Amino acid sequence: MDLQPDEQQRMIVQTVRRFIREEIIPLERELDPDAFELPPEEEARLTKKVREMGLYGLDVPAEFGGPGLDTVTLALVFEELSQHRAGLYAPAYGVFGTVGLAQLYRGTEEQRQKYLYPMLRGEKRGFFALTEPSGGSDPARAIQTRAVRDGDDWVITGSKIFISGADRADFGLVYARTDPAKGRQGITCFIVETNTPGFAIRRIVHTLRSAEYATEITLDGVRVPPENVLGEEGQGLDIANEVLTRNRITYSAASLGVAVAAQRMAVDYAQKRETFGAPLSTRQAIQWMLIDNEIEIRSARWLILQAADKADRSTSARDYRFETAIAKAFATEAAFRVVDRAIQIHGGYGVSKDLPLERWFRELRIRRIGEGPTEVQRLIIARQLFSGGYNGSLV
Amino acid sequence: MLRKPWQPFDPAQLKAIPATLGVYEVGDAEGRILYIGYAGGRSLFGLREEIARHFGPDNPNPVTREQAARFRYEVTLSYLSRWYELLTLYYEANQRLPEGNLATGDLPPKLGRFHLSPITGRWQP
Repeated sequence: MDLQPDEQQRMIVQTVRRFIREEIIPLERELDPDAFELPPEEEARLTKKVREMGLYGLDVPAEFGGPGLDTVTLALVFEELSQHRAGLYAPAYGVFGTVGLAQLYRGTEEQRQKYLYPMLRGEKRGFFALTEPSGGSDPARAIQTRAVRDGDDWVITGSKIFISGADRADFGLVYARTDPAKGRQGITCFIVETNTPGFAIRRIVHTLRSAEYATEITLDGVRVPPENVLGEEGQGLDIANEVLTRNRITYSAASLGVAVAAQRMAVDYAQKRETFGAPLSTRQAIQWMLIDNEIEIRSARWLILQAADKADRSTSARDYRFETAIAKAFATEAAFRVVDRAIQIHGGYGVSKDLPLERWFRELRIRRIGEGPTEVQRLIIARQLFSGGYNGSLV
Repeated sequence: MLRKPWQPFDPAQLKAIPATLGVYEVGDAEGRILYIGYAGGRSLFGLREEIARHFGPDNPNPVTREQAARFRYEVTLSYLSRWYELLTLYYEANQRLPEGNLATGDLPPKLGRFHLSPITGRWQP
């Protein structure tokens, strides 16, 4: 058991840290505080630089041309990657080429050629559509979008909400109910091209989030060929959950990164800002806020790394869902509290757009809901606790 | 498009325009949209400053300098996503972007797309 990063992990983390501090943060001084993308020339320049560093497509497995980082290393990297104003939802403004839609790795070779590889090369964009107006936390019951067979094709009708990037995408993964009698085993994942008749972006959903706004989409008799079923019919949720569970680790790590950055700002400011003739850092009220922050940051980090380590040792998401749920619930809630305290220490500046804290506060509020709200994570934890054979010890 | 009535620009009424974050449209005398803009976090005096610069003598935008006659605005903290939405809706309806935005390049790096009905040619709600 070794609780220290190895030499390669240190090198990657330091490289990413330097990149964020030297390339991204200086650019942000010129951008709108709510900006979520770079001017095209800067994006191209920095993407080229990241490719030269060998870190493009950070979360892409080696067999698909990525660096093939393990989950622990990815967690360490995402903690660094998010430490700038737009970092929560637009880490490094996407120049590291993190893609999501890892479900496509399980596609057929034809699907990979048509969708996955162009997406990894940055030529095509995709979206992920699971949540519906009827709910997102319990998709097995909430999904009302229907797909029915018509000859060899499937015809999809329904709507999806809070879908990021659909208005700019070439295709998306759409989950639809193919057999209402089978519950969670009656949901199938389809690859839907956005130029298919019947597919429409209904509206942008304006939220607290600055980066990559959400959309609502409608599918009105969208015809999908059989070769665009991803995985087996009825196994859509298994495909989704495998990836969603793993994503919650980097999601938590990015939340932690913002907490670390906020704490760094708060510690620095508390030593510089004087009230009633003494620095804030000498006031116990302030010290305790910073102490609480530090305890929560360190607790969150170990929970995330434990989940990441378990993921690296597991063959199925079921094996590390418990640890991931604990990490996600704690890290996102803790990061929100850390940023809240950092704002309190900064006073009026904390809520102004002069500093990134107000944006982090808004976007962290969403993190407590996104990728499965805290209450659903707690549900997962409770199920495991009562599943029999509870053993709370490490060994 | 913004669902607000057009207003003529009157320098004496400048302070009636809120100095807050938001989005706005500048139109010509016939009510055609010339420019869609936003007052963001770097704006010193918010909508008031951003709208006024289209009607001032130092306006660098040749389109609004020549043709601006009226404006309308919406106060919103979601100014960037609303700006994208307004530009996308404008493009969907007109198959081009506002002349004033094109003249100065005040456009997002990438614009999304909604979907027009193939039958009516109008945006499908």
